[in-house]
Amino acid sequence: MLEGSIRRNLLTTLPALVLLVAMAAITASASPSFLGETNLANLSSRLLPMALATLGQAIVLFAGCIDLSVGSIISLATAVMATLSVPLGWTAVPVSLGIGALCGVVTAAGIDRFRINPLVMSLASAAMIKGVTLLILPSPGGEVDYGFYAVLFESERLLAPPLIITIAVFALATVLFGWSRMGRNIYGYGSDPRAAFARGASPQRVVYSVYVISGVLAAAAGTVLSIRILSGDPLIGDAYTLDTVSAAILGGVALTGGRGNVLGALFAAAALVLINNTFNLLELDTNLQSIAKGLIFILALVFFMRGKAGEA
Amino acid sequence: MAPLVITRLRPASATIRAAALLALLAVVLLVATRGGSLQLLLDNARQAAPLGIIALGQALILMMGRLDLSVGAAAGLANVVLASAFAGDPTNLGPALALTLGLGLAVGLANGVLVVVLRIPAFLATLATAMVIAGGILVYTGGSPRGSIPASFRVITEGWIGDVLPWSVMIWLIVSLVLVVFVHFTLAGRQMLIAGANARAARHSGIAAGSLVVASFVISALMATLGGILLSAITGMASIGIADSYTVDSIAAAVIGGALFSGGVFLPAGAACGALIIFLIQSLLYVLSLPPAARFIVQGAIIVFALALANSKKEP
Repeated sequence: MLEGSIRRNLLTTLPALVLLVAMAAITASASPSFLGETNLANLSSRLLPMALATLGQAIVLFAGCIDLSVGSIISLATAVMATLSVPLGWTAVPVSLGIGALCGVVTAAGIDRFRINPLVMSLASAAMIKGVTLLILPSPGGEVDYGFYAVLFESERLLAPPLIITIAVFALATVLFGWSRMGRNIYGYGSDPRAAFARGASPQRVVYSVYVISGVLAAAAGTVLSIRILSGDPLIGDAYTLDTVSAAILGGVALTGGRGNVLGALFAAAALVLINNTFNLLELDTNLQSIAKGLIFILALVFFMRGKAGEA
Repeated sequence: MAPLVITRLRPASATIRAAALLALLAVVLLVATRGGSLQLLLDNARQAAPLGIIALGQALILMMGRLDLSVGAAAGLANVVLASAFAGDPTNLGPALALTLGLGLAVGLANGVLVVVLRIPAFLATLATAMVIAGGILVYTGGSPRGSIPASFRVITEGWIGDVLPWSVMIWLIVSLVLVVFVHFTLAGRQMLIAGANARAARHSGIAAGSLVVASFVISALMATLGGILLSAITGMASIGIADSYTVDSIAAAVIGGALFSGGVFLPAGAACGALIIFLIQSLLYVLSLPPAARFIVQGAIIVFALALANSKKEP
């Protein structure tokens, strides 16, 4: 029954896991407070948005597509929360996720209906979404109700909502991509669209579902982020686009589709969060961080993509 | 021989479509500004020149079936480096230009090596270079770029040839002409075109595609640098992030002008029309006093529209 993805792709998560453990060991030996519950709780609340967004990107990559609008959707969600959370209360969360789903539908429609290259279509969506975001919230600001923060982030225990949500979402994704027909169809479409079609996977359904899932997860990441900073920021998501792609690739997800594991995405997202955390502990200039991340990304590509890449 | 030359010079249907859209937009802009003149349109072309030149490089990369997402960052790098090397003193012309173009060359070589030697997909490799360059600019300037462009150098965009033709448009035309001659009338250019249209066929015909791909990234980065230099001449100073929008804009311009993501098509006149269309739309949004955010929406919508149109033509 373990037919789908889990066992076959388990090995691909190994490098990310090694990197994660190594980073944790280095940081723990450098600063003893690292393993304290407060710091781990803090890290898990940083991990939540990154892990959600990376999962969405990984799922799109499973289908052999790519979503460069993740960052814009995150920014949009923070803007939506910053304007709606006070008047609407908790209803603002489903509204924000729904808007994320809508963004995914727009991208998928362009790919499916107009046969536009997924990379370029998501780039075009990203521009349009950024425009909408800037119309809603031209500069960082707005207000997210403190009630959200109290529920999600106030606890200083490790076993608090951020970690629980992360585990729940990834457990669900593991089941979805390990044992469900939908997960198999997405992998199948990613490795060979024709063969998947012959086996009864509807290409349309695959394309729409991966982009809607990615849109919802990106919006969830943005929602969580806005709750953490208690406001909105129209540009906060920009860095996430490349971060999610590099985390997915570090996690063993192939750009060519059909290969990878959601757990790899989780390990790599955690490793990236740790790397950021280490940069902060080392008091490294934030601009040097951007250079370092670009170089890490190139290294990840060199190690994982070598010889496997397509021409695009 | 003569008929061959004529068919080669006949514009592609995509170019004609882009030109028609451009003419329509020009009329709308003239009506919207009331009493606008040819002078106004030429002034728009003058300011569109940086984008036009960067779009030419992007069109060349698209011809190779690839994408360069680092052109905005490369143009921004040129802007910051040129201003700080000039430091407002016209006698620094030689070293400033040499340094700026040298860095552009290095960016192009880095992209080419990442794509060809390390076999990283072009859009990811260039995305990563863009990130490294953006970080490098911030580290170098500490967030507040210094220096300025001397007035005597700014003539290249502010000056007009006999009050008829802006110098920047002249530079744009010359660069376009050089590229057209290179692609269609030299051996290396024609090999590039074939390698872009069908990499396998090119390999079987003994074309060393690798070095051609590196060459295309070098040309694209140099175009981006030249665009950044012209942009610096327009603004007269260094600013961070000023050239970022060129990445998506250049893709949009090339695509409106008929470039295909599958490669093998090089339509510089189309790309020029595309660049002018994007710039005229921005002017129009400004004249209609729409918020700046609207330009992002329009930018994305144009790409979708142009590609949807191009793809619908291919359906049986």
